[in-house]
Amino acid sequence: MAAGGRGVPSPEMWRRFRRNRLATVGLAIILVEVAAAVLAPVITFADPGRVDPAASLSSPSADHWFGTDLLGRDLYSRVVYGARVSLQVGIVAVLIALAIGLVAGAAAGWFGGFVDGLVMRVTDVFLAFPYVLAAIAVITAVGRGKTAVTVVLGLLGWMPIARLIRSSVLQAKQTDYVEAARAVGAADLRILVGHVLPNAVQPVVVFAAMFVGTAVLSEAALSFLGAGITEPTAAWGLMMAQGKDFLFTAPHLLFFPGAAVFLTVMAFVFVGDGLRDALDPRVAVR
Amino acid sequence: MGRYVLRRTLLLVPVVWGAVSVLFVVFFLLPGDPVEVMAGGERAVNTETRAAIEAKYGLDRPWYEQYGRFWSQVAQGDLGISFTQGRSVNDILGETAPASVRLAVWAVAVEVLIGMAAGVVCAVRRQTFVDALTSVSTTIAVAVPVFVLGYLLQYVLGVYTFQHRFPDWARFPVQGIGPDSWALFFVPTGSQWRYLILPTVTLASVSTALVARMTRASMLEVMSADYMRTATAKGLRRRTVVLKHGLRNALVPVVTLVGLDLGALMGSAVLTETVFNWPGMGSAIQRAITSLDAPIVLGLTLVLVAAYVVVNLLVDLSYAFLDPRIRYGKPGAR
Amino acid sequence: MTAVAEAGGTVLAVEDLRVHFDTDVGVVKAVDGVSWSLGSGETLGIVGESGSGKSVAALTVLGLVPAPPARFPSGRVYFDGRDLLAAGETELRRVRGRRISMIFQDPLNSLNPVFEVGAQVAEAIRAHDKVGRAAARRRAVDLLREVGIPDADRRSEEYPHQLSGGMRQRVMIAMALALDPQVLLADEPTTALDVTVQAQIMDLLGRLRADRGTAMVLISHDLGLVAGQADRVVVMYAGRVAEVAPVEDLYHRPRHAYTLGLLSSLAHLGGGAGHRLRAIPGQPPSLLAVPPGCPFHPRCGFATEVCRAEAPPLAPKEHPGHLAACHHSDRVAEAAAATLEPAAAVYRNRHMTTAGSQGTPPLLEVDGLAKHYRVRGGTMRAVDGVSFTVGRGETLALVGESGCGKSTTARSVLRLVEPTSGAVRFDGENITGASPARLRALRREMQMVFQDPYASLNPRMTVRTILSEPFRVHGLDPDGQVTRLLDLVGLGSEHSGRYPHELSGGERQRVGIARAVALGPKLVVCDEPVSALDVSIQAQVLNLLANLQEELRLAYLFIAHDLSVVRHIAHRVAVMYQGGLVELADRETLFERPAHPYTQALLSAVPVPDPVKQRARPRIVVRGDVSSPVDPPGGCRFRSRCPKFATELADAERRRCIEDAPALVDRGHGHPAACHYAEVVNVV
Repeated sequence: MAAGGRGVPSPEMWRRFRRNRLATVGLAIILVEVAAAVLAPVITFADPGRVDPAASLSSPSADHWFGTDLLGRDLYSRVVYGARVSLQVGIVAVLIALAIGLVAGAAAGWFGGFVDGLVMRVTDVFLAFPYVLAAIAVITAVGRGKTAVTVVLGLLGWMPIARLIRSSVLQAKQTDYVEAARAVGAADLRILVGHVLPNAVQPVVVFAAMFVGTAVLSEAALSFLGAGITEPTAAWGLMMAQGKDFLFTAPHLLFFPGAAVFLTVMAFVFVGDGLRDALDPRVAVR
Repeated sequence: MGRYVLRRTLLLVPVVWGAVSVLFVVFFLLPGDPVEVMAGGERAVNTETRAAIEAKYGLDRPWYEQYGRFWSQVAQGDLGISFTQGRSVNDILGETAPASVRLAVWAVAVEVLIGMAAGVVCAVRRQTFVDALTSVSTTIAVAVPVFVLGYLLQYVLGVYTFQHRFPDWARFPVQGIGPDSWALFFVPTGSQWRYLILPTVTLASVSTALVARMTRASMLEVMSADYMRTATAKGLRRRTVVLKHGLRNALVPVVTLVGLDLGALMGSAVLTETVFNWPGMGSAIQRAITSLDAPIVLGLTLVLVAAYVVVNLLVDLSYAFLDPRIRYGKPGAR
Repeated sequence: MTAVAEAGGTVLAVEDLRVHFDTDVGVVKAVDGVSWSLGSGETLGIVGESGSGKSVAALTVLGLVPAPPARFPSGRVYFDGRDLLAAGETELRRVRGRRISMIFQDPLNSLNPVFEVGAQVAEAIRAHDKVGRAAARRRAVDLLREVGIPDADRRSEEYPHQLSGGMRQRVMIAMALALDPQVLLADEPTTALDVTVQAQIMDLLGRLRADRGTAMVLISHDLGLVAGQADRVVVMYAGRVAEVAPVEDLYHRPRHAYTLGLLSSLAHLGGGAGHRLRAIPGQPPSLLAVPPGCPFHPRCGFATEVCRAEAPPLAPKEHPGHLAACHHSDRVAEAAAATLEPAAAVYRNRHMTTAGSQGTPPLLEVDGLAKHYRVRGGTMRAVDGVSFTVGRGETLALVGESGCGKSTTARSVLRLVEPTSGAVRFDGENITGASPARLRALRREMQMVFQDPYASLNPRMTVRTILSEPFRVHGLDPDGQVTRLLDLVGLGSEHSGRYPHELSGGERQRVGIARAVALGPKLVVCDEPVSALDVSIQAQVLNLLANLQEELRLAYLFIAHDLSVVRHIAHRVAVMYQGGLVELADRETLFERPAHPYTQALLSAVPVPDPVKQRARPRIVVRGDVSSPVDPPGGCRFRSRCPKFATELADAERRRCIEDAPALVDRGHGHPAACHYAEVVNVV
């Protein structure tokens, strides 16, 4: 009953989500990837770090489904383990951005005035930095590694969320139903939590889903450029950077990690689209 | 109108101040020993070198003095000295900027022209084959990482066509800028365009897809507006209705997107230039990352941030031309 | 006046038109077998509630309905010897704007925001005539002058957002009549405008059409407006024509049960007061599933087996040109004779005793209430010193045009906005200084019903959650209360699990009312509670409010712009203009002996749904639009629009209006009016 309206999943939402076929495909891809990441040791046959100079740069075969890299490491294992890194970085970065964005945006929208002005100016400052470029600069300064990449991607990504939340809160604050709640005698906290935030959260959920894709993509880009994950961790972007010199002789080094990044990013974009449909109760369901 | 321009421009002051300060904090105050970074590695630095570097960069001074010094450098346009090359970053900027500007301008041209045209066509021919095709290809283009697309194009149009002896027109050079011959700064001459085309397509892909989608959505919204019905009811031609009354009103969100997307485009440019070995600021930044040459990264980033801020100011100002409601300062019009 | 139509002077005819929309959820039969014709120079009114298909048919005439999703399974649109429905785009384009033109409901959105208005008029000329840019622009300026835009030269260079609503609609009219078309299609042309501006626009249209001999199709939901304008009237219901008749026949001798139902459900100025309206039960059908047989039968008191089985044909009735699609025309005729002819005097005064018990202190006392906003360039005096009282169980209506400050007053009374100054005493307690905790407790006693029933219900909450909230907020047990409340407002318990978007407009407003009365308040502030609803639903909601008032002994502060509704529901009426009250009287006095020129003009501008009475009424016309409430000049605020100031007063008398703001006091008329020269005139 009421649950469905409060942003908690309901059968009706699931029905709406499923109507978007691409979203279902995206969700399937993500589930498979999560399973692969969790079960990586079970579904791979070789340690992703095991070096085998004899098998250097071999093409895909029955032994090495995706072939091997320059050091003879099994590419299939490395791509599967790479999913762990990508998903961890992507999801944790988005959680960081959500935490900051929600608090900053809700505070700005709800209190208005000085708080709003301050939060919005800080947002403007952070928005003046192009995302990937800023991440490159910061990581160059503070050093590389998985933790650094995750935190930096999160710290540089909260501004759109704050803006979305702020404008939704401002909008919701002016609606008749919030005024009606006030007229009934509801206290501020009840109005914020019961009426304003549930109606403000929806665009953020959609954005967050898509933003996981962006974070995965950015991590891959940073690693590719040498400003991200470092050896010996298996990360898709890093694998591509190492494979780029062998475009003529061993294109599989670029193909498999590239395809993995592509599928992951696309899956999150699709799921974001599906969530948009699912979360809007005003879209009629047949 | 004048007030609008003034207000928008003044709003930049805190942004620029904040942005420069953030960079200062990141590079000089955050954990992560700047001396180590400046010394070019994540290894132990001997005390003499440390003292020399600290003295040279004033790192032994209190933070506010460093901050003042940093600002005076920025204000003078002094971007610092590269650690590994020992040259002024301004020189490196001068060498690499033209190649980057050329590539970026062509990419933005593709983005705006093709993206908007595709968006308008899809909005007018909604739910036809063209629309469906564009919808699928833009979805894919948004999700393909720039470096993946770059290598894919290189493989298909450079490696594959070369290995399978395709005719010359289907073989493209995959590395470098080639002869570097241009007319009027931007126009490639001779065989230059063959070197330009793959990087341009790669760099423009995501942005073009976004612009196409935004134009389509914006046009669809505008086309259901009452004034479009009025325009038709006047007896205007469909083309006039769509392009004059429709596109003009659909433009504001598209222009906004082009401005904001420039940031993403700069990030993509670093990747594209790296993939194609294009001798611009992007590949300079990439090389600086690998050699841990912080002054180059900091200096070039500062320049790009400045360019980004200025372009978005221009975008803001262009609203005044596009929408009279903003020009006449009606509160809450947008 | 109807002779033209019969004399073969038909300029435009729609025949057996069907417009169906293919949607995800099925086929919407927006227009389903509609025929009407328009004589040259004639005014044809098309009335119906939202979703009756009245606009779609007109848009189809000019090919303005996008297809797909629309289909046209049958129909012809005869114009000038051609079938426009079959015409190609080029042929249609030559007709649009040149031979047949159209004006729309919302003049802000109907003009392109990014072009100057003069250019938009000139563009209409250049679309058909080979004239130069400058010549077209000059003609545009002339046209703007002709439609009454002052300083047309300069204003032609302004953008739509710089003009007032009335001015924008004048621009639309200039554009539509630029090339002297034979036919003008006017789709709710004044619905978005205030009633005094509506009167100006209709006058203008009448004058321009008389000069040019333009025929007009006037599409409207407002039976009063159509009564005063049309020669013949088409009544539409659920995509079909219910009845066609010359205007007097239709209003006095309806032959379709729906027409009769509409006319008797109307709250109107000249009608009886204080009784319950005869509401049509239920709501208009979804066009996805129109009932078989006569589409009106589920709501019809006359319906029999034949109505359920067989769709009645549109058949001629006794008078020439009078057709109705009703199986029971005869019984409708009898009923009409019984209810419509003898003036509603039967009801008059039956309910007239002011419910407020005399002698006891009033429930609500508002004293010198003001709300000022700081805006760019000054102070906006939204409410500027308003005083009134509301007795227990009494309804005080606060009426005025948009922007007069009536809604702000209502919200200030509840302290939903903080008043700038003045006092609000509720049950003797001054609540302007009440603490937040005390205020929350007071909310049990005073509640609000909102204008837009959709916006005032949280889209993510079910009806049950919405109705439980008042109890939870005050730490009460909502158990069993939801069912009681739903029953109280005429809804069933099956509604409790639904979301607002699953309810109809009328049902939503019932939920809004249920929430307001949940905690047993003494005062309910109703902010335009029926203005977003269809006519037949308005009557249901007004009756509900009246019943609840009796049952629960509620006092209402009733905000409205529609004087017809006010006449029906109020005990006393306060008229507001630009932040101040101009007249305050009990209902009968205000409607029959108004003393303030603004009240008189307002009453005069409200059309009465009776063609004979409407056309015989005296007209008091105000000029111009409401001026800005930002830093208004001293003296009487109404003087810039006042007909008395403009035409009757001598210069010496005017000085008093300019220098001295009139107080709201009784000047010997038995009730207070804020005019130095107040004088009773009957305009209804």
